[in-house]
Amino acid sequence: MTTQPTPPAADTVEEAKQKEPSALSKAIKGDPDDRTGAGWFVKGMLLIISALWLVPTVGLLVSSFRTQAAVNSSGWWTAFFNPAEFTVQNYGEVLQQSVGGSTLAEAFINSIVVAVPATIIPITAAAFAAYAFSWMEFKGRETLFIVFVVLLVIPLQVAFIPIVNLYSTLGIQGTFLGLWLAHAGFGMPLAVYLLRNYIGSLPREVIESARVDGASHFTTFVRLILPLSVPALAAFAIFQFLWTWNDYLVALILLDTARLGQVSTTYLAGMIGTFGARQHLLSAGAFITILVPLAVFFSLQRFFIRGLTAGSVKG
Amino acid sequence: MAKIVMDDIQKVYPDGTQAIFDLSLEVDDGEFVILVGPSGCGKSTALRMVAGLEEISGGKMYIGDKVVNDLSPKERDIAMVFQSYALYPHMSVADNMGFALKLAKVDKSEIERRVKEASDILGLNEYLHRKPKALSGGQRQRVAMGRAIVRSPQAFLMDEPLSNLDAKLRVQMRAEIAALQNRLGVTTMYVTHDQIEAMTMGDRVAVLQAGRLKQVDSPQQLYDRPDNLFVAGFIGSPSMNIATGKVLKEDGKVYLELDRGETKLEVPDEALDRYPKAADLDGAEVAIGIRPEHYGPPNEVAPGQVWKNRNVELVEMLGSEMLVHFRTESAPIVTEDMRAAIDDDEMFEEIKKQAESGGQTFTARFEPDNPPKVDSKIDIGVKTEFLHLFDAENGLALR
Repeated sequence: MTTQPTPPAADTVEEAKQKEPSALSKAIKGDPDDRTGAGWFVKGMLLIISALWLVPTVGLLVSSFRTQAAVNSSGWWTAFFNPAEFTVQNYGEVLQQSVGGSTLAEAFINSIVVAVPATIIPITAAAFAAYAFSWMEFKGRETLFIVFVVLLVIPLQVAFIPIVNLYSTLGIQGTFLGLWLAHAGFGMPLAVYLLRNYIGSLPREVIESARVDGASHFTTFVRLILPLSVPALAAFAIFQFLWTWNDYLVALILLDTARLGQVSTTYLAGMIGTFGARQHLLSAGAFITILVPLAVFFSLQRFFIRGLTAGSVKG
Repeated sequence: MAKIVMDDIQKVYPDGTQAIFDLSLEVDDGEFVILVGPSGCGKSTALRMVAGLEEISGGKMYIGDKVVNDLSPKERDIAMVFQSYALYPHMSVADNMGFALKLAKVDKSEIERRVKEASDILGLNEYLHRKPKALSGGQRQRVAMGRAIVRSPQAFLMDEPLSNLDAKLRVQMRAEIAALQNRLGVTTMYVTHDQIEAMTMGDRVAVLQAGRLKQVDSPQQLYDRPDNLFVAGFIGSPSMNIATGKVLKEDGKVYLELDRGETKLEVPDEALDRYPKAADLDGAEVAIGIRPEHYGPPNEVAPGQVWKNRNVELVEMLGSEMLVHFRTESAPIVTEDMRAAIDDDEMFEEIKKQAESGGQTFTARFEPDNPPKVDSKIDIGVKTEFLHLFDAENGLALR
């Protein structure tokens, strides 16, 4: 916009001055004419925080385009003064490397095979559970919910030995199924907790209205709760996907990588072991594996806006 | 369409508190019955028990000829309109209205036809594809009504459907809902705390207080012949002036003694016909009720009906009428019933304070000419033929 909105007509100059918000309130609350609703102070702080968080990522990106010699001899920021040392060779090289029997492309696909079901399974189960905890009357509901929430504090390491024993008995040790179930189990307490808080805060009258309209619990869940809970489901999906995508420990213990191939985290770890500290390749590989979480975040972030229930209640 | 019968219905919550006591009420086929009462009187609970959203702890509930105590809302075939409208925010207006039919597996073309019909009635045609959040309050209210209409249910249940609208819209929707109910002839139960809605909309009004049904009658009957002090105090605005006084018999005539003996008003036969038991009392304390409009200039009533020497405390000029607040030395009735009837704790505390001083302020409604001066003494005519008399102890009308 190039034109300034004309200020409201004031009878006297003094009056006009009084209506002008103070500099401090402008800095924090923002100019009333500005739709974003934030002042320069808030915006400045956000800018600084974003910059701080971005520096390592930018460093990684720059390193991934530098030659091995350059990476080993100087910091990534020096690259801006020597544009000559930039190369795309690292990417070509890393895609052809085989680590622990897998190429990066295979490891990448394996990671997707692990992360997608490991996200969908707990979300589905937790959404059903959250509905039941919020809107179905049954004995021991509160107690059961508390037990679920308490599970949040249990570190997953303590569960490895029993899980491996159990999986061996069941014959699923080392399989994708075992890994999915483990991720689902570890993700479930947080999922149930988050989703119950959200689903429980949906307006009661809307759910009662569905009951009067003849909806069963299942219909209410599918037709009403799920579409209204998209923001919460998306939020948890992002958490869970990032967690399973970036997971190293659980995959290392529960996945038979020799038989089924590496996932991207074990691939990257293995790469260091095979080639020593080849930072130039590591950074290129790492940057490729970042792409998926970034894509997931940007495609789901619009659901974060919790405006979906607006209009159902009140006038 | 069907009639709704509540037979000795009880509601006890798991923690032991009882919300509804022995509620028996019959709503005829096609009748419009209003449930009214102060907040927390159990009127919404009663309605939700009819809907099947609240368990029935005792008694029998019939819709049509069926006992519905253990039926789910779905099986009861009723439609409910909620205070918040409870529209489905992710569905269009048309989908909102057709949702119940869709669940009932009604034909698509039939759903479309019925939604169209309802939207014609409600003037929602242009909005059928909008989401609820793109509608104004009044339009949302109409969609909520539409959702009920398309189902042609056994009964409509409405839980304060107008309380979220602004005053002007409320008046309009009040008339619309009443006309619509009349036209469709669907049995309707309507919960409200708004007296005007109660008085103007329904065929009959059921007044509840603290989980007990106090009176069921046509609005005018309720106003003219309250069964008890609670109904007398609750119905009407400004509310009925109620004070304690004594019934005295002298020379075959009945008098009321007010202001601790300072005032004596004659009770004509018309009033005694309506409250025959009062004639048998002599020297007994009773509760006397006078509606604000039953005062008049002293020259318009018999000499025995003039209340002399009243101190004017406040005069409110309202254009079409004038409210004169004057002092009486007759004590108010201070009971839990009256607290509920006033439905305003601050006001009740004020009356309690006045009671300690032994008197209270009465309100009289006059034609707006010659307003008296504040703190002046005036004589007021009391149309005692319209007087109400109640037992001071149990609050029941002296009939």
